[in-house]
Amino acid sequence: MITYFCKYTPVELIEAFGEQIRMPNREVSDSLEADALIHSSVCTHAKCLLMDVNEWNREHPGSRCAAVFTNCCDGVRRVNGCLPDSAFSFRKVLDLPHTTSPAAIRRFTGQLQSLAQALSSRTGRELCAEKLIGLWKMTADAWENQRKNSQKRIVVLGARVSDELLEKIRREMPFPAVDLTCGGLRPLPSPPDGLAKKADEEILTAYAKALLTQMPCPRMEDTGERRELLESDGIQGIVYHTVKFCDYFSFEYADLQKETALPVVKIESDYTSQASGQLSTRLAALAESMQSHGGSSRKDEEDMRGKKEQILTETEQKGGANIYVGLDSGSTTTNAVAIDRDGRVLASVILRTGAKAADAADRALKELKEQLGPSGGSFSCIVATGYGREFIHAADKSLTEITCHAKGAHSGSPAARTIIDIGGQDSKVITLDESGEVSGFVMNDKCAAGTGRFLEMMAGTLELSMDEMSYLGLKWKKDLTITSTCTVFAESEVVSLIASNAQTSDIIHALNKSVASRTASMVRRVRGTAPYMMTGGVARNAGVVQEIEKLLGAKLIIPEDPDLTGALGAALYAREGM
Amino acid sequence: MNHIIEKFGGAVGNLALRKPELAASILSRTYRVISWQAGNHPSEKRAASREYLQGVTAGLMADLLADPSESAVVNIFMPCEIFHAMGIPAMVPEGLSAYLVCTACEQPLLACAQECGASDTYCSYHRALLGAAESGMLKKPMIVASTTLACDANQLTFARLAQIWKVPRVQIDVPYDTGKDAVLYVEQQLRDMEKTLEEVSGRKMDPARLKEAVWRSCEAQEDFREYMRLRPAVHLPETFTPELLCDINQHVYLGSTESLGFTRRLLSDVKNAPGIGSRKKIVWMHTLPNWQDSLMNIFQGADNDRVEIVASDLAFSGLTPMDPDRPYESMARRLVEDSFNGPGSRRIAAALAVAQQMEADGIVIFAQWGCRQTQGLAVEAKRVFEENGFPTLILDGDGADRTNGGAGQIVTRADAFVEQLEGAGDIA
Repeated sequence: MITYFCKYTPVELIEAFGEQIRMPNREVSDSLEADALIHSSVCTHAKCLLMDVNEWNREHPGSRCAAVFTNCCDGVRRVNGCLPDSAFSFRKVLDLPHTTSPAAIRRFTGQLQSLAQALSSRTGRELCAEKLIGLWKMTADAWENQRKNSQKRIVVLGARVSDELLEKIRREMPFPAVDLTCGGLRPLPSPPDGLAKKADEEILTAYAKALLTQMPCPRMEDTGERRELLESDGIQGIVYHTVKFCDYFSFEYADLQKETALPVVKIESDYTSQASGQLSTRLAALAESMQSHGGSSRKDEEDMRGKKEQILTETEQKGGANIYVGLDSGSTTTNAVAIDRDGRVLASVILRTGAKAADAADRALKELKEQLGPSGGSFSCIVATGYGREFIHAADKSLTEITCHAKGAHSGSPAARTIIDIGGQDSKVITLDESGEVSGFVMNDKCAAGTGRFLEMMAGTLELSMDEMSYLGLKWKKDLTITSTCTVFAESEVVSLIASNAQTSDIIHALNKSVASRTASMVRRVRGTAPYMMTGGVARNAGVVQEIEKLLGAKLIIPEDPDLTGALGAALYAREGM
Repeated sequence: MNHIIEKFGGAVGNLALRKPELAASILSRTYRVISWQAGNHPSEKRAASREYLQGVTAGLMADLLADPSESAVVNIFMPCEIFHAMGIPAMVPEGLSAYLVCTACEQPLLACAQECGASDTYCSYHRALLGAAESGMLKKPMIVASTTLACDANQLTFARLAQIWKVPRVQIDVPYDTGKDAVLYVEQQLRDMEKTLEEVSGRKMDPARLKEAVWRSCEAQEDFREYMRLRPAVHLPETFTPELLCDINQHVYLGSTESLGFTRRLLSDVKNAPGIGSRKKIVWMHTLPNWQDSLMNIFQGADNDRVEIVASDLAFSGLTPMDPDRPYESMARRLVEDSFNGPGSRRIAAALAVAQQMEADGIVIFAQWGCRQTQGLAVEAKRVFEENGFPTLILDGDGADRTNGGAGQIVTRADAFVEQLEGAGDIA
């Protein structure tokens, strides 16, 4: 069994010697073992590879790992360097050129010849050229079939995606997902006709050329061909995946955003078991976006129609009062809104979520009923949104907060084109088209900087309430700056400023600037345009609002109840029968 | 950092996003003043070689910000004798970014690069350069040229720069192994690059000038070897900025008259310097965050009798014999045999050899944010160095982004390391 790590590895050559192959691609629960051997800021997938080799050796006592490396990227190069020879029964490192020039193909042919010799020594077999060409043709055919495929599908692009995450994507998407990342389909051109009659050296030269000239990964000098990845009928949307501390794909994603009309979502993973949260939100938002662009699957449409009919029937049977509820289950607060058939708000609730999202939702619904009184009747339909939406058993349907915020914001201010929502756990910027449909969105990463939680933590350090933070943030005199973007380091800076007797209002102003700066950066990233609306609890913070307005050079529209925008949007969807 | 510089830099950085040409003009004039001051009124507290190279580099930055249309933007490993022989100035990300951060105007540029696609985990030297280009503050040069040595960021940044500026791009593909075939492979690419430069610039290469440039490289390398031989015994008052400038000098400046001018002065400085006394000697790996006063205060200074940096590995990574009669082969060999090429074990071995030559007391591995090459070998290097008797500190930091990481944490680690070397205790 030969372990390999990169799509440029000559796997057909290895298999032609009768070897089995494997490419490790599993998530890990944590990377503690790797962190002892390599710096924590190295590509998280590379760290998994390091751990995989050690795990293989533990699981196969008496036989050590056999591996073929390429010097494809910094991560794999350094993993190779961190593992001693004693970890391997066989190790070969292929020097992979960055170009496809004739000289580069000659060099790579030499590498393949050297590998063939090493495999021959290891297996005691000679190279079977016929087998190599046959396997190569199979790989090329699989790629050609994908190019010609016109079935509706989504493509996963970017950095390789773990088996677990790919499975999750396939579950969440309304169409089949094809893996075109650097760990997915190997896009090799076909072997030339009549190659089998040639000498081994000529065959290896042709194979080296095919490997180097395959659809390139971004480490190659000329990556222009990568645009062809999307030149195929049937592609409905793109999941663009990046791996933490892998540098290769962020520029391509930026270009893709500008160039493609297809719905696209970027997700980043670190190859550890993913908590659902933000990742599910993003994937579900893409699925919703594809559906709004007319791409919903038949099954989804049937499900939706059935559900709607069922609700209408049940409502009629009950003689219900046609009350529609939106329930936004956030990390800090759970917000609920009840509306009537005309969209008028009948009742609303904001309460702390606490430890269990489902319990908070039950409390919110109970409180809504109390507000509506005995004549309020029963709820015709409940749509849940927010971080905890999947845990709300009382809900008939769940939608992401991206979609619901857009709906809620557009209903209140149809002119708004950019929605800035800063919640407790995450912050996001959503752009809307004229009809109120989501045209793009961006969310903060896993870091808490720039979120409501960041301000809450700092308020705790300053021993202030959030209302005091809002008020005092406007009273600043000296323009201080908090330089650290990391919440923990920023707290250290605040502590230092307190120790140096800086005025509290000046410190709060510096914190507000920090949040505003991150927010404005997100607005620019998603190319948001005025009019801007701000929603979420932080919209109540006058100091933050003022700083964001300064950076954007425009006033923000703040709804009367900025915390309730998502819930209102969910209620409006409930009224529409989703 | 000085409060006035912070105010100035903040204003110019923000201006770069609104009126990039005006920001470039202000910075160019600022760097011109620094250059003039270093050249005409050098500080007596600083080594003459340091002031000379500061004058040269600041002048180059000023020229490039004013009008880069006849210049090249290159990565630090690019052998530039061909450029010098053809009279084409070359600028590296590490150089411009170090100036931008020292004048406190890097933040808006870093943010601009991120908004245009660079990830927040990307090398901040490269991000700052990208921000300068994306914002329009740094106008387009004649060409961009890079080597695949030593990191992934080189390929990405220079491809991106060529795309932003819409200018020709050359990339030298450096094989991982260091054999004769590898040298030949690079040699041919250097010849091809020369042809491209001729086409782009409309200038013809004069072989005699190229030979002369390579001769200057030989001389500068020889000076540097002699400097390294003498360095362990002497004290130089300032080391952070000079070592960083040395890193650049020993790569892209090699072959220029200024580079040789610098090494001649460096040799003179080291011959006339006082003894190092009881100061602990440090070998540094990777670039030096010369914007960070609190860290510099620990490792340098006339009043500092505790510790001193005596070498940094970027400066000696390419000390390969060169032959002016075989210029292309010499440049190719320097590139291929650079200790940053190939497996990390080569770079670790080279740093270890220098630590032994310097009779160093300890080694600091500066794990620059976003540098996967250095971060990736840091743990293994520490193991090897400590097995060989050199206490080693992995110092996470950022040479081009003042907001990345807490200064307090970095200083505490550096201080604790110095205390460890002085025998005040052991750190985990």
